[in-house]
Amino acid sequence: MIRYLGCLAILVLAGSVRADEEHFERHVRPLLIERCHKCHAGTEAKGGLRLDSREFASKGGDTGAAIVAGKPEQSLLLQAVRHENGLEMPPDGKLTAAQIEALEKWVREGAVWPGAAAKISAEEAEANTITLARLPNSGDLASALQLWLRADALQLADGESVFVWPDQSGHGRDVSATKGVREGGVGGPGNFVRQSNLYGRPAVRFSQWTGLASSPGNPVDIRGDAALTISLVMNLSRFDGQPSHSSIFCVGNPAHSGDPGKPLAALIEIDQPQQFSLDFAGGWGHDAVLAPGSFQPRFGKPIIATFVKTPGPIKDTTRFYINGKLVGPVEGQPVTGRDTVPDIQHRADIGVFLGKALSWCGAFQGDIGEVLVYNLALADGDRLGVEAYLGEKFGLWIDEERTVAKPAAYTDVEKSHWAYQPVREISPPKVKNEAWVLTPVDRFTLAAMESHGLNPPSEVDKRTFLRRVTFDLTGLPPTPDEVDAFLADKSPQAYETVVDRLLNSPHYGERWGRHWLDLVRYAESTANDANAVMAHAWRYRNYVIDAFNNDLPYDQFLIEQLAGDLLPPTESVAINTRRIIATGYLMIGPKALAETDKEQSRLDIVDDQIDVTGRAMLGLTLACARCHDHKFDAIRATDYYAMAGIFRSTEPFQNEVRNATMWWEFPIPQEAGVEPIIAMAPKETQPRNLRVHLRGNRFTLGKVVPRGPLGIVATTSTATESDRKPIIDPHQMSSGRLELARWIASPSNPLTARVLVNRVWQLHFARGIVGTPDNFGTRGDYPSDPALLDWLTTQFLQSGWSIKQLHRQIVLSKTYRMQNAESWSKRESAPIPARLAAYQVRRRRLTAEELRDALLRTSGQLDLVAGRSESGDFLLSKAEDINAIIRPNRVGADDEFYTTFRKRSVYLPIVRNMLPDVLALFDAADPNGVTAVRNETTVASQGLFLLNHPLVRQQSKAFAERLLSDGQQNDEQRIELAHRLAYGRSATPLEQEDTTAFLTAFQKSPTLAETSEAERRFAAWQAFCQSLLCSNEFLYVE
Amino acid sequence: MTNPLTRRQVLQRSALGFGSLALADLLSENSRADGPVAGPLAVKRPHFPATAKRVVFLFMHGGVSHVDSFDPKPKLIEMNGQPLPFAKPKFEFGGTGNLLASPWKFQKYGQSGIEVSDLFPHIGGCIDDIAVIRSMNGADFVSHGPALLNINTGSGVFARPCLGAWTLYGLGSENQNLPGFLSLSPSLYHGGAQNYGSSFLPATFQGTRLGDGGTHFKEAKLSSLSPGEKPELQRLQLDLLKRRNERHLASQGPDSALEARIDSFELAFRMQAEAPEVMDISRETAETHAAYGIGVEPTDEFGRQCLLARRCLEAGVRFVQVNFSYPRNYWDAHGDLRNNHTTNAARVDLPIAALLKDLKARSLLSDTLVIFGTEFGRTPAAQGSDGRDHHPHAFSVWLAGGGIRGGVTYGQTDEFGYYVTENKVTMPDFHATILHTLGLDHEKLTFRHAGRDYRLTDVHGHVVKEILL
Repeated sequence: MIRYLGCLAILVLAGSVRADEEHFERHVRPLLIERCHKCHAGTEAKGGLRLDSREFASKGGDTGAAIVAGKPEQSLLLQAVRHENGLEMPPDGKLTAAQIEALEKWVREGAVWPGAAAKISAEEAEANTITLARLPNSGDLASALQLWLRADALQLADGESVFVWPDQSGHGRDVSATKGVREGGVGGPGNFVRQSNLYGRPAVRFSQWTGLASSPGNPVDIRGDAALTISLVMNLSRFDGQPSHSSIFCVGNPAHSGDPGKPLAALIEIDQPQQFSLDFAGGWGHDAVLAPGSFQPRFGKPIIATFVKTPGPIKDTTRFYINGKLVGPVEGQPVTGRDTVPDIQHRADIGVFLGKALSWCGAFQGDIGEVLVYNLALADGDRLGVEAYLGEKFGLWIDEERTVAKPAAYTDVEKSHWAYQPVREISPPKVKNEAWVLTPVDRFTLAAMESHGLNPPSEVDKRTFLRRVTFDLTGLPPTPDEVDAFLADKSPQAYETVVDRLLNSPHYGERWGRHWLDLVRYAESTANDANAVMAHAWRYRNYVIDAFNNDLPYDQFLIEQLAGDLLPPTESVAINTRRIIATGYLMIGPKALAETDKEQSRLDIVDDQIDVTGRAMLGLTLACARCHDHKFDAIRATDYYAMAGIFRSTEPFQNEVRNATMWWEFPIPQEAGVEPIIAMAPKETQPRNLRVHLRGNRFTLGKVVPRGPLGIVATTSTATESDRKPIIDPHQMSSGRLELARWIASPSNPLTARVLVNRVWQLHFARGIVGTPDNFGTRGDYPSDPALLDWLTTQFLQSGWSIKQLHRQIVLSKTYRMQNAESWSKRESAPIPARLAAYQVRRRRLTAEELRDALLRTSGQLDLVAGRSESGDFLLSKAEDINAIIRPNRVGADDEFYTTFRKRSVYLPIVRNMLPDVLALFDAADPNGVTAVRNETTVASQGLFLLNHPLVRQQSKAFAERLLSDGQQNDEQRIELAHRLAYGRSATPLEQEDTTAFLTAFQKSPTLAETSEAERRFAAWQAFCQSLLCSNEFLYVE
Repeated sequence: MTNPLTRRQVLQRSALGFGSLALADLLSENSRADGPVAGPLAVKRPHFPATAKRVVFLFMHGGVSHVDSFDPKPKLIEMNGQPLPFAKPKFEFGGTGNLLASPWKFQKYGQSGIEVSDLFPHIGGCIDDIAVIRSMNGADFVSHGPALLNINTGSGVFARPCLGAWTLYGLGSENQNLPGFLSLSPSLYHGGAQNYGSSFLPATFQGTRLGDGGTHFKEAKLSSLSPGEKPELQRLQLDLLKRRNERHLASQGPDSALEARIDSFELAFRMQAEAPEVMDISRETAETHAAYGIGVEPTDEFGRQCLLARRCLEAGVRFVQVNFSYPRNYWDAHGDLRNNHTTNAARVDLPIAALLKDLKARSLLSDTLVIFGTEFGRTPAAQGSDGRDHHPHAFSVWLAGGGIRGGVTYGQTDEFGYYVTENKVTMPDFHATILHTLGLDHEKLTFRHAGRDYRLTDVHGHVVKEILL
């Protein structure tokens, strides 16, 4: 019985089921269930894609329609299972060839899906389909393509005459000037314009006397009442004496007023009697015309105009599209004209033509970027694909409403986040103990302490203060003379004198420039695969140091780094040069040189630039939005791609498309007699607006995003109308970096100045007012004292963005003179509230650079002359000469150079992933990313370094030599000097005693029995000196 | 006559941690720390019971051909010289021509009968301890640099901490007197130090490099481990330093940072005494040297590396990466595959088998994870007449010991070895599986950096449970 039923079922299936349904049931449905439904079914489907009904599959997911019935090549499902265009499904192993073939057959045959459910509207499906750019001659379009003129294929210098514009369709229908070339020719050559009015793309410029025509011997294959499609990328201008009909482009034989009334051509022109309207004319009086005056607003604007005609009466069968959008016939704007059926015929003397080609024909004036002609009325999908190609190329929106991302909307909660609110005017708070207050900063400190019922701790002594402030501002220990002078200065200005001396010292920039270099991930090699040496990066490093030393206003400092090359040139060569070098900011990041997918490598560099700009300048983590809207902050993926477009329009490489290519390095001419300076700096490239890369994948594209800054800042409750205006014209010919830079460095940007003020505070105290200095977003800390932050920020802005004035506000306060947090907490019985941490100086270990500099300074070996090209020269001299362009680093972390170099540590070579031991061991910034707060580790390898490394050994030796060189002194005096040099204070009697005992014991050691007395004595002094350099009092600042 | 376990206990010092980190990031991890002081290298409890306590990662630089080693393809013999009957991958390094049969025969080995080519007879002899993964996929990283970074750090694009650094971060070190993570002869090319670096993890967790790919391993030295002074004199000096620091601490302290610094010098002193002893392979018997092929060519160098790896693992080093690396050793057979792979295999086959056997004999294999890996496979189609190009789309690696099921294969490629057809193992899967044997949940082993929690496996990764015991 069971067997019988089974047979029956098969018979029924064979008898009544269509072959395509059977194919689906047998081969496709099981496959979908088995390999796809785990992720792509039900309401939780991944990527928004459901493959459990035909409607859902047609609607598709985030990337577009999974299946397009009858069109396997347009079905993302097929691309995904074939692993094409960056899609790879299913993730757990490719389908077999037979399975892929089954899917393809199913889609090709119409994708029947018996028992389909859940209907969705056609509009909904449409809204989810993003048109992907399609090459004009790709796939089945190739055979229909009759003519393809593209200005970017012209190999001409700017301004050169275009006598011949080659046809790229493969038919050889080049168009050429006719005047003086052909008998009776009237059209002169066009002009090649590299930066045309088509948003700066290459184009051919036409005057009303310019005309280019193809040979009549090789006519396009469009005759009679044929279907056709013509696309023109153009920017037309009006001019005095514009003819009544200005012809733009023509296929066939145009008729003039004297000819018999028959449409023999497809002539595109501007019709003046219709008050400037676009006209698709078949001949005199036979045309399809758009509404009168409708072209007027399009003069002077780049457009893609597409004309699609199907067979039949000219008025009824012509469709006009501008920038992908149907403009005629549309409701309320019917196309007028006559209902004649065209009969296209070719002339014997001339083929297709552009502009002025016949003596009686008036012609247009303007720029033409590209011309496409098909002998086919392109289907909407194909037309949009080709228009998308033209749009991407010329920076034009295609069907803007559907394809361009709208400005993001933000919730009230998002808008109310503290960091996006304007900086407030603050009056420093009132305090009880007025006598304690020295500067306004102290009012905030004291008010906070009083609110907790605490008295501030006592001041440190002058010696401790001097060591603290000297390390903090210059990264060097105070010399014994400096200590003596400060202690001797009993005047009320003693502190100010010292602080001003330090701020005016060239060593200030060497210390504070290094903080900036931490943030901007400064290094002199590319990291990743090649780790190639960037021999001129040091110019940027020195730019930063100089900027700090010269107190370059911080807003200007930021603008120069982001867009110094775009600032109007000044009369000063030095300033112009400096501004180019400043853009090294965009160049010094890690970059993969051997990445096969070059565009990927470019997008990774853009990502790095966005990450650094976001965190260092704005205190926001923007990089998350590469793949999705920020999970916590009001940063959308569209914000990311708005900025990414700006950076992508800036080119770091000399060759945009080649793999393993060199970044930009070029000489900047100097005054006569001075060698040019080589800068490592980017250049502007063709500006573009990027599409959202869904999940960060560049092969799955969403809507186009106009270039611009972060949306949220312009939408806070207090934002003015002008704040909301776009700062960048997305079609403009420059990248928009300068506009972005000015937006960032604006006093009305609520983030920039606050972030900087907080950083400077954080580097002087135990922590920042905002504890997360590179995250002012909702996941960052709320300011422990918002009033103090805003008060300081206001002061900073009023000082003209002067960082040195900001230091003075801070280090001249009583707050900065207090005992450190560690000492204070020891004296208080109850724990000190965490909220007060921001007002306290902490005990800190010397940074890696301070440690090395202090070693050399104490031993007397430090060369205080500013470094220049030593680092780059050295790395280059050792680099591997792979092809003389890209030079991989070959210097190890323990290279002898790092032991023998005598200049300050900021001038050491910085090789990514191969930092010198002294830097890496003591927690120097990893130049692969932004470092806002350095680690402070204590590990045995640091002990090994201090005990055994040649650098420390040599410096303790030099220190001992320095002590012993003066034969006039006795050992007690030497011990005293050693303490003064290492600690800035005298030796205590106990230390004298302990040291003397050590020196004696050491020299008596049986291990040294074989050596001379002088050798023993020296070894003992060296060991003593080294112990000073290893001691906590030396390694820590109180 | 020492019992190996006793010897290990002797070699391993107390796991007492020390030190302080300014970052609060470590605090969550420290909740798993054993011992009274929570230091970055203190031994930490894993998330769940581990099957492996330590790792030796045998890294083959250049790309070992899967179809000539662990993934036999008879179809290549049948269709030698004919074109691949389906499309080649979108991302290829260079260009390839028609299919190329393997120059080596495959034999069945062991109880399991897994086929291994004649390149690796000694490894074949250990096959019953090995799980071969034939379905590795290295994403689209077709160049050495990104591919090396991908297998070592989980990202071919961004700077990320490497596998060893994550391991050390997750588990700490058993022996504070030795580096917790050693990389022997790593290449300075193709990502260089990034391949054993700690990136945004504290520098404590980075690999300590011993030698490099350009130098014979005999010449390799650890920097700063040779005492600057004779130990007796250094002791006097350290005592002076200690008295000085204690006076300073008495006036300024208590402060855990200052105290940790004092301790760190004592530990450094012990480390410089112990490390050279562990590093000295001459303390091993002549039989052991012979077993590893030390003293004879072509196995001398890699034998030394493998033997040193065993000594370090035994002494409590958590992670040893043994690199067979460029420029002196390189599997990159774009041409003359036969000569390249024959030469290279002859250098490593015996030492690797010796290491497996030695670990087993010392009862260490059961809790030591042995990884044999390479950055990608090679194209089943020929490059030129007799070479193979880079092929990240499918390749083979293997694991042994430490909770790995021996004598199994996992995953399949198509009949030519071009694409994975079954049980694809991505790099995050591979890493997740390794961490799993160590008792670490790859989704929980995170580090807060730049405002978010980072993982070795980013947002991917599934443990390949099928190859676990």
